[in-house]
Amino acid sequence: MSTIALDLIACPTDLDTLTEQRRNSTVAARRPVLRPRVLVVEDDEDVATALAVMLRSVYDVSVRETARDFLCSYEVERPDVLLVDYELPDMNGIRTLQTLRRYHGGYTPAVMVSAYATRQQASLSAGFEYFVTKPFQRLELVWALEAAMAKP
Amino acid sequence: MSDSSEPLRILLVEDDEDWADLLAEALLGETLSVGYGGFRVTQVDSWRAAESALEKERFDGVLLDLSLPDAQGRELLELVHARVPNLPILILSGQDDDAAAVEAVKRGAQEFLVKSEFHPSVLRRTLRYTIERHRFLEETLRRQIELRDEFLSHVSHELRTPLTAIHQFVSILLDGLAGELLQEQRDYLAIVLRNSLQLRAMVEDLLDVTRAESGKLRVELWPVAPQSVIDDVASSLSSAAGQRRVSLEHTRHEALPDVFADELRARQVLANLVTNALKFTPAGGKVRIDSRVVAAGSAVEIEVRDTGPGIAADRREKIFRRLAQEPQYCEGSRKGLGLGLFISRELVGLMNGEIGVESTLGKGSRFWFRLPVYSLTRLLMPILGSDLASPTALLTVHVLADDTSAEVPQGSDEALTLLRQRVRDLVTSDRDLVLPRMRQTDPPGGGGLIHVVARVDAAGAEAMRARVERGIARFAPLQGYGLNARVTAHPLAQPRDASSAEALAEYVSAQVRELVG
Repeated sequence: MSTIALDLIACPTDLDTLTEQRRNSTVAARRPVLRPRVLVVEDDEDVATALAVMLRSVYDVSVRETARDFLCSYEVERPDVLLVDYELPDMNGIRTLQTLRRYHGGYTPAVMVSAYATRQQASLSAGFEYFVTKPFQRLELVWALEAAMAKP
Repeated sequence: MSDSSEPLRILLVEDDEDWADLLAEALLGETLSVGYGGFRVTQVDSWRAAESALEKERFDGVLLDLSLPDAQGRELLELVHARVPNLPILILSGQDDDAAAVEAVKRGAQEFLVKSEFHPSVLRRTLRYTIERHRFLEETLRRQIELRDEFLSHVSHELRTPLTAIHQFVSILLDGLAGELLQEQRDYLAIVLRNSLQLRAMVEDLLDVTRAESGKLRVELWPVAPQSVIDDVASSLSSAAGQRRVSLEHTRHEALPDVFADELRARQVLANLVTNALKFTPAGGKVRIDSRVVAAGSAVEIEVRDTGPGIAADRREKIFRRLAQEPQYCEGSRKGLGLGLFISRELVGLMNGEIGVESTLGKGSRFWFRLPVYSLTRLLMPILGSDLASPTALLTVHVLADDTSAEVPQGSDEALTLLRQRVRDLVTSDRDLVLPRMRQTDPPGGGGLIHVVARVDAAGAEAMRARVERGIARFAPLQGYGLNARVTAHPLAQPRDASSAEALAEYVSAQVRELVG
């Protein structure tokens, strides 16, 4: 799916350009914002730290460690995009997103991350905009988040 | 463990009529009690008759005389053992010969009885114990394999998590997110990264092997463009080739037909072959990926040629087995578990393809694999294979420009690709309802046509149509390109000849062609 992501948005080669592009953006994004809020649910502390470090220059990142915390904080945080790990201690990422979309207001685009590429099909069918395999590259992750937010 | 009140089914192979009767009587003539079912005996008098009985029926054990009219002694025992390697065999012999008995046990017999010492209750007891002991050993072995697989699978899962973290933080350092790096620091981190990737690949291989051995390795077959598989693998391995100073080349063939395969897995197989070729080709050598249509247009062959040391004739078959890395190859390269070719062969088999190698010592090797070309008949086979009589429906998705008089807008190819993906997704998430597959044709004048063949009745077809339509309506990128989709459902009439899957597949293909022109 990453090639499609490349087609849909102007592909940034570095993240400074991305911020610049956002400032000048005329594309009808959902809600053009300079520092979008990403709500992450990832139970592995190290991977969560890595995510935060990789994304913090361009996004406001909040991390939750369980699906329950994630769902509870969703309405308070009002994120622009969701980043969901498949393996969570209390329920899997697909059920988490389904629960969120069914019981919480609004539509927030979501990206799935998993160590298992074989989960891609199921994730996309379940309504995730994009899928990224762990371990991820920083740009790959940013592309997926940007493309997810750019979907009208 | 089996229920002990079930009678044990014995195949009695004895050509001497008197002995046969005596033995049968000994087995059948005992008093049965609650919880004990005794024996059930099938009598035959030659190896040929035994072979056909084994074909038709299931037995718990074989009682075998070693001198039959059509086969005798060691040779006979080998025949039986080869035919039913998992069945306990009890030998009856006219001669009291210890050496022969030991020999028989070595060749797969479980017990050896001498006719001159024949006693009905000894025979019964020996036979029963032989069978029970055999069952116990089989069960123990099965359980051990299961435990080993569970363990391996658990270990590989657990190893992935820390590996992912190592990888992530090394990339963070390399990206300069924790401050500028000196060139030397950068070089060393690149080594850490390369090794962690290698370790990860090994863990993946271990997981695949345990999956393959417990029958849990799965593929999802869809139309796949072979050229994109080749391009992806060539570009992802080009830097590895550069590091080894081996040139990696590939030819582009625009006209290759789609194959029916699992794209991720096809890529994995090709990556395995190319990685091996790179590993065994000395610096300055060449690795080349090429492809062609073979087998009268029914398959695409992808080959990887190298200028490595080649593989001796007697090793060529063995390298596809587990843990089969060539020992002399390992000098200067301790990399890999030697599982890649084994996994590749399993995967190619699951995708209904073939894999092989040709090689000249000192000159190099040519590894190839073939995947079946995608066709409607082949596509229908797995759907029609399991239950020939159930109703089948065809859904067609016509993709049109919003204003049909207008040109199909630019970018519609991408939209079509997305739609195909979307239809596929919609359908695969409905596993409980249907077992669908999809076909795409390119009608004249652009636009697009996607076929979904589903195993549902008329009501099911209607439900599917509604579902696909709802899904597409929600699919914004399509609207973004000014494209629209119209979904039609055609329940297919029951065929007159449903005697074979082939015949039925032909019939459905013909109906599909008629409906969509």
